[in-house]
Amino acid sequence: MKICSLWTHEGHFDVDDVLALPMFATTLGTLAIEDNWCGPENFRALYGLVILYCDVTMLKKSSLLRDDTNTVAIITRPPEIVALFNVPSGDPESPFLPILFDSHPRPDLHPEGAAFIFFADDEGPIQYLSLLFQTYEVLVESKAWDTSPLGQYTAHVLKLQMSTPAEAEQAFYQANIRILVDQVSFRDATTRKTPLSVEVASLRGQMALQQQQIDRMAEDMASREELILLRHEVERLKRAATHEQWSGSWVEGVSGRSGALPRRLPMYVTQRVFELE
Amino acid sequence: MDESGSPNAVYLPSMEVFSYCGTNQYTAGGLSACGLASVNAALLVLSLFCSTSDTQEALDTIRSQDFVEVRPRTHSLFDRNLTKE
Repeated sequence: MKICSLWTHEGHFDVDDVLALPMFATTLGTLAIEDNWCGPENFRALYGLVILYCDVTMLKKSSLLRDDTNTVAIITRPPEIVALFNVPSGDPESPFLPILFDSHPRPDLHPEGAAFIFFADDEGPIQYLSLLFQTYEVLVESKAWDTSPLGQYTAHVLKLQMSTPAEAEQAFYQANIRILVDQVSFRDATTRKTPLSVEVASLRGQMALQQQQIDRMAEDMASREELILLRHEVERLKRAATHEQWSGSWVEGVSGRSGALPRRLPMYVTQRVFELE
Repeated sequence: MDESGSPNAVYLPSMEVFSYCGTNQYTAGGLSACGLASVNAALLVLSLFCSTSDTQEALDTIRSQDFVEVRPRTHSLFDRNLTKE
């Protein structure tokens, strides 16, 4: 469990992510990956697979894996992951022993710590896993895509991989080089971020200037329109004044000739005279 | 999954539980480290059986508090007896 104290991040990760780490990639080999619905029948089949891969003759097909009889299934039922081992029992009558490793505390069984659970027979881990990863029948039967992760499990069946001291050393170097690569990538990303921030600031400044220009242009437009209206008004007033002057002289001419207003003046002349009074 | 764990874990007559206080993944520091803990346990247990021909001794080691808490020094990743010569 000491390895857990080195991982303080809150993010979840898959078994594949862990197996890709140099310390595991060089020591553990994956024999099979199985996705299935939780339930006694499927867990029985899974444990059968774990036992099957303990068969030495089966392993001879792959020269990379050790020809001993120990196998493990890493079972993921989101968000939990446990390990089910099949190891020698030392008892000729029942040569294999199922052991389950669970790093989670369980209130009714191991409330304070991680546990290794030894089972007396092959049915033990099947029963235990079926209860631990209990799912409602309705959920399993519906097989709805959004609820499926709750009723399904993924099992990675693993075995020790043969490695030479040179390979172990190589893994050690790989791990260190990976840290260096990550550091360089991080630095590159940070350096790229700084000029981008400067560019963003400059673009924002340009946008503000353009907005000011637009506002000024709008003000100019409004002033021009106002000016045109005023000019029109002035023109109209000028026209009106000229017309008035013309009308006044005409009335004066007529009254000067007779000494009094004619009895019947044209209608528009009468109107203009009254306005002047 | 909260820190109290699943209430579905029940005791069965055919099993023996070996657990020690303060060794769960939350008290050990990793909030979501069950994948890391399980794969590491896989490496330790399988390596243990490869390093000894005494099955009973290997099973007793797994039952011990030292094994659950920390990696036993006698089974280092770079031990020559775990690797192919």
